[in-house]
Amino acid sequence: MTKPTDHYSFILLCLQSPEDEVLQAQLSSWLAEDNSHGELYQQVHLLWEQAPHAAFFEEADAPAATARFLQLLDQVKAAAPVVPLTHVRRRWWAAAVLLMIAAAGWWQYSRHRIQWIAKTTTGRPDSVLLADGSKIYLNKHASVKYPAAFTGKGREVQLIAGEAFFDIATNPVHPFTVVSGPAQIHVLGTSFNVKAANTTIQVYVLSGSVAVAHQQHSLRLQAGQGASCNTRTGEIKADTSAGNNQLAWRTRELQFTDTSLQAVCEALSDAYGVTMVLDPGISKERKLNANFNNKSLPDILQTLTALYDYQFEQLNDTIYVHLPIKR
Amino acid sequence: MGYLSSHLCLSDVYFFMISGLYSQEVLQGLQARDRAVFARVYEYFYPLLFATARKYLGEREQAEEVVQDVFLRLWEKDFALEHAAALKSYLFRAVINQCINHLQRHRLLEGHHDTIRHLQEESYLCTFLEEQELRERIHAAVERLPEQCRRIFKLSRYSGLKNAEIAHELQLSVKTVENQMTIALRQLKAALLDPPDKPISAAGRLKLLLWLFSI
Repeated sequence: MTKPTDHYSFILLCLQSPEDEVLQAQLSSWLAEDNSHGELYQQVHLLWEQAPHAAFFEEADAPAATARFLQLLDQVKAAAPVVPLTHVRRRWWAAAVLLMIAAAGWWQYSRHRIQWIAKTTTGRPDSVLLADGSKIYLNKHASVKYPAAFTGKGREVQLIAGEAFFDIATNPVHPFTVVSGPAQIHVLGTSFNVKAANTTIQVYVLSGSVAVAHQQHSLRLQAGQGASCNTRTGEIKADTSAGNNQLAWRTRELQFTDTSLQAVCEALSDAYGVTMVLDPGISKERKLNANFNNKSLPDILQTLTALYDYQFEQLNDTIYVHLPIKR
Repeated sequence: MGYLSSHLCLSDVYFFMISGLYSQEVLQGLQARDRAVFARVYEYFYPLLFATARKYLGEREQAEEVVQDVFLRLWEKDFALEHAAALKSYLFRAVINQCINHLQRHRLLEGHHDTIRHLQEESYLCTFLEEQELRERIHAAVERLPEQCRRIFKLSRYSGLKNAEIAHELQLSVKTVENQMTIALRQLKAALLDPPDKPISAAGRLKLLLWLFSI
């Protein structure tokens, strides 16, 4: 089949034959030709997809239904008459209106006064459910502040310290912002990780996209991308080393591919909230290839002991890695 | 359905102003059990509420009953609404809750009606309401298509017939059906997505919707 010259008949053909591979290939190249093609296709596609649901409006005869409802209402009214508004009640009515105006004024005032709630974790991770359905997962030793209810145009929460994972409910009308010190992260509906430590704020995006902003600097991040922001200089850099391991504190999924022991120890420290101390005699460059899914720290240490001939010794929240004592 | 021209149903505030009713008056009218105000609000919201209930309930009568119940409750009980702008989402939520109750009573909530459970979440409800409003506008725009074009589009998208089936049923050539479908798409897109004079940012909201669907 040759491609019709008219855009609409071509789009119609594509929508009606999703199984035609040749046609769909033509569609892909046509879409790639020009940005305006993509926009047009998306718009027509939306109408096409939504149209079948519009069929339910076929049966909605509003005037006839309203007549039926009024009939029903008259039967109910006959059963329980409602006291009509009389002249005697006017005064009360006026007072009630005044009260309503006052209430509206108070409502206007109170919606601008936001009630903030603080949440801080110590030795255990915890989570918070926000009023809009978004979730914040706090790592150990993290602190956030969030409003009891979201009012006004935007939704804003503050990461005061530590690390947290944000799973934000989509709502394009009310954009979401995470404020961490001088930096802001603007989102529309996505999930991402933020870690605030000393003068660095690290962001890693799991799904959707966000914009990291600090004064005049701004950087857009897509899913799978990370960035770090220096809060002193305001510089925002793409962080290519950021990977899924940044979320390990929450997912307990760690992936190491040719990773140096030094980096492995850092990832484990982040993921399990421990400090790892390496014996100076150990080569930090030895590589590790391994995946750990939902393993406890002692399990991982046991695996490492089997792979390397080092000893891992845990004392409270500190793990000492040293060479085996010669017997 | 005269007042449901493309931009009006986007904003209730507009409806209330154009129909000479200020929002506070509508609320007062409802609270004072004003029969005329009830009739007006009922007629205005009926298509949206009915189509929503109809999506989950098998029959037309059941869906209409749900809408009637919601408004009868409004009549019988005092309801505390601070702001008229909240009226639509209030009614919308009430209809969905009533549908869930109905399905629960008839032990139908399991199985393919599981999707309705999501609607108990606030964020999802908001998106769903916007989708329903778009569908209402699509329906209104389809009604304004030329007669043959409208019939063909409805058989295709509402009844799910293939072009050849439509051609057979209406004694037309397949080429004519294709041409009419193309005209329908072109006109719907023009009517809904690029109106020549937009008094409010209808296009802006639709762009947001498009964005939402493209994620």
